[in-house]
Formats: sequence, C-alpha cells, structure tokens
Amino acid sequence: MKKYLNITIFFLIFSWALVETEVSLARFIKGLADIKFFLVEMWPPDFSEVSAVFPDFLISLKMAFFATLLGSIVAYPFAMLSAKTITKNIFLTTLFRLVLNVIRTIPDLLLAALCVALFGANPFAGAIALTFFSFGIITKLLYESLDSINEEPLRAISSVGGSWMSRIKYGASPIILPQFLSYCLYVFEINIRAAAIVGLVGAGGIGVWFNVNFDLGQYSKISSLLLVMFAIVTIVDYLSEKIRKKLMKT
Amino acid sequence: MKNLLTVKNLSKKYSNSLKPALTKVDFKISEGEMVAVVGPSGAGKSTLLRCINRLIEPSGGSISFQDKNINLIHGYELRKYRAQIGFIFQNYNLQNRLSVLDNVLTGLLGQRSTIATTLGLWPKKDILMAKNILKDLGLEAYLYKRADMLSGGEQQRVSIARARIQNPKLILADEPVASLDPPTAKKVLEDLKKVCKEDNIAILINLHDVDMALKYADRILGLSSGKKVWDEKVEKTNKESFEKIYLKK
Repeated sequence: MKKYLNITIFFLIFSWALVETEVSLARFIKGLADIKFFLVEMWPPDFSEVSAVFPDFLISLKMAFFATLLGSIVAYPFAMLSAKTITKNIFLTTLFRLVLNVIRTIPDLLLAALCVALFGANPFAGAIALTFFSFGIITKLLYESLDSINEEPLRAISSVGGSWMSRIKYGASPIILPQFLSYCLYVFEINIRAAAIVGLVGAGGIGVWFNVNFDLGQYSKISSLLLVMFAIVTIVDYLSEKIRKKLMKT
Repeated sequence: MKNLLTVKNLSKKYSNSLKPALTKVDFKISEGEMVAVVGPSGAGKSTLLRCINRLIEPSGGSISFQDKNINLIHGYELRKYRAQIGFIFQNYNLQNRLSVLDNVLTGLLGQRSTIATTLGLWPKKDILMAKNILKDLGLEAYLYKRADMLSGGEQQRVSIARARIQNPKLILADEPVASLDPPTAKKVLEDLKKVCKEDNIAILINLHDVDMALKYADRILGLSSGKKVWDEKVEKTNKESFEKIYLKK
C-alpha cells in the first residue's frame, strides 16, 4: 500500500513540475528543427582564429587550476569543522554547514556576475567565482565522506590524549586523503567547463570568445572553439581518471 | 602495592537500550597488577574499559585515578589523564596508511606539542624510543612498512608498542587477542605480561578465553549482564566461579 502511495506522490510531483515548467512536446520538436540551421552554419569549423585565442584557453585552464587549488585548501579545514565524526560540537558543525549552504545556494553565473561587478571584467573575477564554487562542492563531498568513515582509528587518537588537530592529522587525514585528492581532480574537470561558462558574463578566459562569436553569428568559429575545448577536456578527463584510479588503490 | 584506580558504583545506560550496560560495578587496581575481566558477550566488558578512559561517558558512579576523581574533568585535563593510559583495541585501530614507526609515535600525541606533531616534527629521543620499543617486541624489521602490510598479530603488537611508548601507569586492553590464532595470541599476552611486570604497569584486560585469564592474570573480575559477580585472585577461582557468570540464567 505504502509503495503505491509513494508512486502516486512521485507522479503528482512530476506532473506538477511538468505544468509549472511549461513543458511542451510541440515546442521541443519545433526547437529540434532549428538545430539544422545551427549545424549548417557551424560546418565546416573555422580554425583561423584558434591560434589567436589559444592564450585565452590557457587562461581558462589557469583559472580552473587556481580555483580548484584555493577552493580545496579552504575546503579541507571547513570540511573537518563540518564533519560530525571529527568535530563533536553539534553547534559548530551546524553553524559551518549553514554557512556552507548559504554559499552553495548562490547560482554560479550569479556569483560570476557579482565577481565581475566587484573586481572588473577580467580572469581574476572568474577565478574567484570558481573558487567559491569549488569550495562549496569539495567541502560538501568531503564532510559527507568524513561522516561515514570508520571512527575507531580516530578513537585510538583520542584514547592517547590526542587533540582535535591530532585527530585530523593522524586519524582522519590518512583515511580521507586519497578521496579528497580524487574530489579535487573531479572538481578541476568541472571547473574547466565552468571557466568557459563564467566567461559568458565577462569573467575572462575562453568564454568571452564564445560570447563574441555568438553575438556576431560566427557559428563556424564557435564550432572550432568547441572542438579545441573538447580535446582539452578529453585529455584532462583521461589524465585525471588515471590519477584518481591510482589514488583510490593506495 | 600502591592503589592506582578505584571504580565505585560505575553505571552506564545507553540511550538506545532498555537494559543498563553496567550496573554499580566497583573494584580497585594496584600498580603493576594484571587484572582480567571475563564474562559472556554483552556482559559490559568493553563499556567498562571505555568508561574508565572516558571514551564513553558513564551514567553514574565514580572513577578515581591516583586518588583524583576523573568523572568531571574535560578538555586539556582529560587529554592529560588519557595520556597516562594506554588503550589496546580488539581491532588494533592502527592508522593503516601510516608507517609502523609513525603509528607507535601517535601514542605520544597527548604528551607533545600539538603544533609540532601536526607538522610531523617529533623529537629525536621519541623516534629513538619508538625504535627501541619495536626492537624489544621483535618488530624492528617493519619500522617503515605501512601498518596494513603486517599480519593481525604483528599489528596488535604494534598497538602494544603504541601503548608502551606512552609510559602509561595503566593499560586497558579490550579483547586484544580475540581476532588472533592461538600461538599469536600467546605471544601478544606474553608481551603484555612482560610490560606489566618489567615496567610496573597495571593492566586491565578483557578476555573471552578463561584459560588465558587464568594463565596470565593476577586477579579476575567476573562480569555478567553489566554486574560484577565476583572479584578473586586467580588462585582462589574455581569452576563454580565461572559457572556463575557463564551459566547464569
């Protein structure tokens, strides 16, 4: 009985979402028809500008790297303060989780636009926006992992009089470090794509060129940029997958 | 022998359980004494040891260590109290990805500067002490090996080394040989006995195996359903004593 009730509730919510988001099959089919226009315009890719904009690809990569590094460095102690297995003070863990939720509530593009308003239309604004984004994801993933670790090795540290810092350094870190590095690599992959997106609101990097070419209707140049982007993302994905697999084995 | 630990009316009731895990348990331990706690599963043996170390908060009663009540101590004071007590766990609780040497050094975390140890800066004398203890236990060949590369018996002996480096006044050992084969269990218990007698360290050890308790302990505490049933010198125990706790209906 409970099973049928759950299914009914699920379908009610699904139907409500369909209505509220104005989902229409006719509109979808009409949109698909327009794709032909874009495909024709995008082919063949025009690589004439790629060498000129390549430094901006590198800027996006650097933005992603900076943001992942800084975001993860800040995320590590924050996750420790948010994890119930590490920090036994329920007031502190609740407070830090609340702060984290506030940060994660801000949409990425809004954050990027805010950073552009604060720091100007340059890669620094994009890097700061991505740092907040990276910080939010890594902290959340890390404290959830910490909450499910075996607490016994941590108890061993407490049993000899180890402090909160000792519990982190000698109890939690040896267990969680491979997972933490794996999360950093995963977020770096996401950040490479996100670095292009934040450029759309003027936060520097290759996204600016996507925006310019889109406004000028130069779709063949967009397809060449997408192909280069695809190559970079594939290489980074491949390398990070290899490293992550190795990390999880240690 | 000087009295070291006094437990009076110690009780513990877990919030998720109807029955108390410990009910008004009292006993004393003197320096250099090896006391075994025996009893069936669920008798409250692990809870008793964890309450003494305050890894679990007692619900009632008092614990005095060197004539000082430790029930109400917190923070730095609690850490200093724990630093004087070694704890050996059934599943060793070593840090698997750290070396054997680092694992032994963690025994000193309550006695050294947090900043220095967090940075991995251990005094040379500590490293030398750890090496000497491992050598004494026949583990010098494994100094830089990862802890999880060792067998169960070797890991348990590393945890004895971790307790020993604390230079503790008391070692609490919670079923330290339950996961080991008989020859390895014998070796671990001999090591503990050696530590107890040579270094004058009191040991409170939970044991499942009555024969082992009779062979290695000076005194035995019989526990059943969270209550102390008897507390006798090994020479005074007999078949009836054990029947009281294992065949209790």
